[in-house]
Amino acid sequence: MSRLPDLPLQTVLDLLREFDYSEMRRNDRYLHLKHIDDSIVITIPNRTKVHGAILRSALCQGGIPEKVFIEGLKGIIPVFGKESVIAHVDILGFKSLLTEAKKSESKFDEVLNHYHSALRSAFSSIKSMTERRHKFNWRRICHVRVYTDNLLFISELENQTEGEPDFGRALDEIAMYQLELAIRGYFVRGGIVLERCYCDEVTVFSPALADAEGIEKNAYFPRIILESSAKEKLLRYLEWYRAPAFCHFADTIIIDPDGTWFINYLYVLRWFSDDMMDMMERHGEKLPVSEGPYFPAAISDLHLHRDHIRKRLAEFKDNPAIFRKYLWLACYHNWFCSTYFSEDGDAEISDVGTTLTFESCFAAKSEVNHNN
Amino acid sequence: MTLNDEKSMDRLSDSEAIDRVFNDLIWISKDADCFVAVDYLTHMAEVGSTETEAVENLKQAIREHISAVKSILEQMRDFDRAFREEYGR
Repeated sequence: MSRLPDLPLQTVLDLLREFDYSEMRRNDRYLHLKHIDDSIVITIPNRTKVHGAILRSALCQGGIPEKVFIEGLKGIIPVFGKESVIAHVDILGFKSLLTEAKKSESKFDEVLNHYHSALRSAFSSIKSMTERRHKFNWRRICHVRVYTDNLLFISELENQTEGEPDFGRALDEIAMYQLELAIRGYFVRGGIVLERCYCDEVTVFSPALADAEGIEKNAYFPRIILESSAKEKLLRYLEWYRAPAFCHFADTIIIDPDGTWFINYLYVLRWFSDDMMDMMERHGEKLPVSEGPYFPAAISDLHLHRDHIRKRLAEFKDNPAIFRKYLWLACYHNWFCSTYFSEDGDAEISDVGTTLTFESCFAAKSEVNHNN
Repeated sequence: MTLNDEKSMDRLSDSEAIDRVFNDLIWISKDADCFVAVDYLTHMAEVGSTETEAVENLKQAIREHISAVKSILEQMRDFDRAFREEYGR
């Protein structure tokens, strides 16, 4: 648990007043505050400075959530940046979406609602995960900001095991967000960097933002790539694992034939889900998992993903620059289907005319070892 | 003395009771130049330059806290009594 700051007594009293606590009585050693409804008493030492541990004790006595209290402290105490996972992504085709919305009032509402529901659903998918994280440690928050076609994810890394669990979780959240948008027809491209960052509800501050546009342009295709800082960190983590089966990143991050590392967001469809639990309950001991990975909801999402790509390929067949991007996406989709959902022959996009083979980031670890 | 022996329990002063009840629930840690003693039952904390001082300060704080709670309860009881007397049964 992180340490709370030492604060001047008067500041503590002012802040506690906002939670309906007022001074009840004080002597030379102690000060008692009572709640407006007389139900709770907080006792703290009557000293000019309140020690962080005593502040935490006061909040516990008063049943005041630390997170809420600390929000009130911002602006009073200095804030600090932390090494964070920063993902800057943009939504492909956003400008044409705006042009479409401009056509008429009804079109505006239609486009807005479709876009809004996609973002809302993508946000809800990671919200539950973020809330769970808040329960254990309020400081580790994955912030998501959306402005025009830009999405910004920020997730702080804790010091434990060099931030590996947080790094993994941040990648999972980004993958979930990307998948939710993709199955609603919004494809994104962007990059992930590791940089010092501070973020709260009023500000986002990080040197990484200076080159945000460059980060997303490096991706070129609809994918979220790992920039060198994130890649180096991941390579460091990979060193800790002997086999890919024990390494969470082995399937989450894959390498394009052009050498770019990116998030294998469709892999989210293979996560253990409620859908699988239902299947297991229905089939009893004869688990479908043992027969082959076939999960209805995942398959229908995969088909949605396939249909959106098909639609885009047809839409941009006369625009080579954009067509190329969706062609790459079709190759990625097909590779994923053949690797992870080979039972479903219907999921692949036919007539793509080309194939790409991606490999697990774990393979890069072996190469590094070999070269060494 | 058993736990059911009310008479024996009555003989304990507040400070003796605190010593008996809270001793096992106090957790001490070092923080920079001081020691922090935290009681997991009341969530109260105190600091001191030594472990013993931190624990003693904490026990004193708990005593003060209990006395403040008692006084609030008495005020509430007085208010309740006055209210009943004023407005009858």
